[in-house]
Amino acid sequence: MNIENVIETKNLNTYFGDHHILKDLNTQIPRNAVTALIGPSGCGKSTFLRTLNRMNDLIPIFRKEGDILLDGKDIYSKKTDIVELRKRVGMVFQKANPFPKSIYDNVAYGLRIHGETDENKIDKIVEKSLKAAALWDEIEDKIHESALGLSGGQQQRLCIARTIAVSPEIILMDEPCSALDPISTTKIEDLIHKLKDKYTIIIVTHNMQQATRVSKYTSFFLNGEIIENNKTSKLFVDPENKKTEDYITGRFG
Amino acid sequence: MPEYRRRFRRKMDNLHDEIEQAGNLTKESYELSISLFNDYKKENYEKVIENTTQITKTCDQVEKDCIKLLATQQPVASDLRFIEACIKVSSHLKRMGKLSRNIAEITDEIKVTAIPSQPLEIMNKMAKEVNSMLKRSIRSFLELNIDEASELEEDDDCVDELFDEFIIVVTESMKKNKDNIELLVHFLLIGRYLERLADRSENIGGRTILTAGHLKN
Repeated sequence: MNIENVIETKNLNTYFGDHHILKDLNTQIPRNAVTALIGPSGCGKSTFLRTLNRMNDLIPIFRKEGDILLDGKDIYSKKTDIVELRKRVGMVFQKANPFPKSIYDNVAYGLRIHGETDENKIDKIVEKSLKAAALWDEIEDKIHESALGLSGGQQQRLCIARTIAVSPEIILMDEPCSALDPISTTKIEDLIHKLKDKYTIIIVTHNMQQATRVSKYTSFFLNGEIIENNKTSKLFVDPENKKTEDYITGRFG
Repeated sequence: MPEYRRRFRRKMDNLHDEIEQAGNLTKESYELSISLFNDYKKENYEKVIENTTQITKTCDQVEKDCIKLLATQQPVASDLRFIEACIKVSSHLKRMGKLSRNIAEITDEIKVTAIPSQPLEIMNKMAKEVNSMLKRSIRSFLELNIDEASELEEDDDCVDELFDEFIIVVTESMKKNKDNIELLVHFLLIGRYLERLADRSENIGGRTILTAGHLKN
C-alpha cells in the first residue's frame, strides 16, 4: 500500500548561532496518521517540530539549510504566507496556553483573525471544534466564562479545539500531556485517536508507552539525526538499529 | 543507568537464570530416563519423577515473573521478545519434563531386557539424537545462537525419519512375536515420546531465531 506523504524534508540542517542542531534530515511524514518523535532531551525533536511551521523564525539566531516541502511546496519560499502556513500547520504546546479570554473567544479567536465575521458561522465552528476536542459536554453551560478557570487537562483540550477551529491539515503537538495527570492524559490520547483520521498529527513525546499507544509511525532522533524511522509496531518490537534498541530498552538516555 | 532500570536488568537476568535452571533439570531428567533402559536404578527413576515436579514449579515461576515484568515494565524490542519467548520456552520445558517422566514410568512397568535388539537399537539412536537436540536447543536459546538454533529443524527431520523406521521395525517385531505385543506397544510409546521431545527442541530453536530478531547480526 502506497503511503502518501504530506511533509518531506531534504538535506535539512538547522543552526542556532554556531550550534548545529538538525543534521542532514531526509524524512517524510505520512498524511492522516500519527507520527511520534522520540529521543533523549536535546536531540532536536522540538526544533524539528518548530521548523515545520516556521516557529523557529521567531528566534533571531536561527538559520536553516535544505528544504521542507508541504504538499510538494517549499514552506520557506518567499511566496509562502506564514500566517496561512500556521493556519494549515497548527501547534499545541507542552504547557496549555489558553488566552485570558472566555472559552468561546479562545476558539473563535483564530477564525476572527483569519477574517471570519459571520457570527452564526463562528458559533457553529466553535461548537463543532469543542465537540471534536471532547470538551463541549464539560463546558457547554459556561462557554462564556474565563478559560483560565478550566483544569489543566481541559485547558489543553481547549487549545486543541482552538487549533482545529481554523481547519488545519497538520497538528503539531510538543509533549502535550507532560504537564497532565494520567486521566487527563488518557482523554488527550483518546482525542488524538479520534482526530487522526482527519488530520496529520506529529507528536513529540518522552513517554515511549504513549508513543506506542497513539502513533502509527515513530522517528527516533539522536544528536540531531533521525536514526530510525519506522512503523511504531515494528520499531518497538524489532528495531533495525542498535542505537534505537539501546534507547528504547533504557540502556541509555 | 538509573537504579530502576538496573533493577529491571537484574530481573531480566534472573529470568534468564530461571530458564537455565529449568533447562538443566530437563536435560538431567531426560538423560536419567533414557539411562534406565540400559541400567535401571530405582533411585534414578525417582529422581526423574522428582525433577518433573521441580521443572513444573520453576516454569510456573518463569511465567509469573514474565507476566509481572510485562505489566510493570512495559518492555519493548529485544526485552519484550525475550520475555515472550521465556513464556513459550518454559511451556516447552515443562512438557519435555513430563515426556521424560512418561519414558521413565514405562521402564518401571516393563521388562527392558525383553525388548528385541533391533527396535532397541533404533530407539537408542533416536535417544542419542534427541539428547543432542535438547542440549543444543536450550543452549542456543540462552546464548541466542541462531546458527545453532537453525540446525535443529534438520535434526528434527532426522528424528522423524528414525521414528518412521522405528514404527516399521516394532510392527514387524509384533508380527513375529505376538507374546511381546503388550511390551512392544509400550516401547512404541517411547518412540513417540522421543519424537515429541525432538519437536519441542525444534520449537525452542524457532523461538531463539524469533527472539534474536533484526539485530542478530
